[in-house]
Amino acid sequence: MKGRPILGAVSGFFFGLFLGITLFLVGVIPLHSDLLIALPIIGIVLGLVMAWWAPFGKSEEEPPPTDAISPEPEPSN
Amino acid sequence: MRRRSATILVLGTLTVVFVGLLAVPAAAEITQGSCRGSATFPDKATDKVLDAARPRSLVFEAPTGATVNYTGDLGPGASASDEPVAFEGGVSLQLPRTSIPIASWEGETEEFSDSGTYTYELPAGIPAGTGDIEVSAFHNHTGYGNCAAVVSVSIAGSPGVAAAVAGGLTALSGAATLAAGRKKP
Repeated sequence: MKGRPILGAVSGFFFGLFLGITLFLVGVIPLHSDLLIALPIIGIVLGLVMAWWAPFGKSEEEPPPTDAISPEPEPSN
Repeated sequence: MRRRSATILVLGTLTVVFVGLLAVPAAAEITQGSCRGSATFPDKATDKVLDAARPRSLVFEAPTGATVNYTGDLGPGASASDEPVAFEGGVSLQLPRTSIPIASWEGETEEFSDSGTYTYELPAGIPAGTGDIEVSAFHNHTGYGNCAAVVSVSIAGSPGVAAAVAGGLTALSGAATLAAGRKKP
């Protein structure tokens, strides 16, 4: 994986957990909803997918060859 | 391009979750037996009576504290017994895939009905203004039948600080989840 799978799984779990709690507290889902169990699991999967995909940060491109950018030495007289 | 795709993935997941919310079933009320029961909240301005036969989809807003007049019986035509009959019952809070008991009763009686007043005050730590809370109750009168009922209630008020804290923690952990998609150096 190019990203951080442990961070993804742990933070994804808490993201789903707190999202479920927030949705319950603001009256969007009932207390007995299975979503309160499903959301942390979805969060773990989301975190692992993010770590596998790793769409952020610098890509691992090969640096250009040094001789292609270095100027030609001036002939000395 | 990849960043845009990641944003679409996150938003797509949230969309699927919110579509799933619409599939919460609405069902009813007395699920077993022919018992009758109700609780009257005299201090409420409207919707004062919580009846056991109330459809589960019709959420009852309960105050954080009240004195309630309750009444219940084993059903139409039920009369007293000549000798004491064992009974038991309880109330449970429905959670996902499980339930937790919050009250119970048992004993022996010759009566097939009961009424009275009950005063309660919810602890300050319980957040108000939340989503529906499903409460189930049962009563078994040995030899005379079993009853079960389910009602949906919500606690009057606003979730306030609790919702703000939970929302902040959601944002924080969501940001950490996105950070997991950052390439290792």
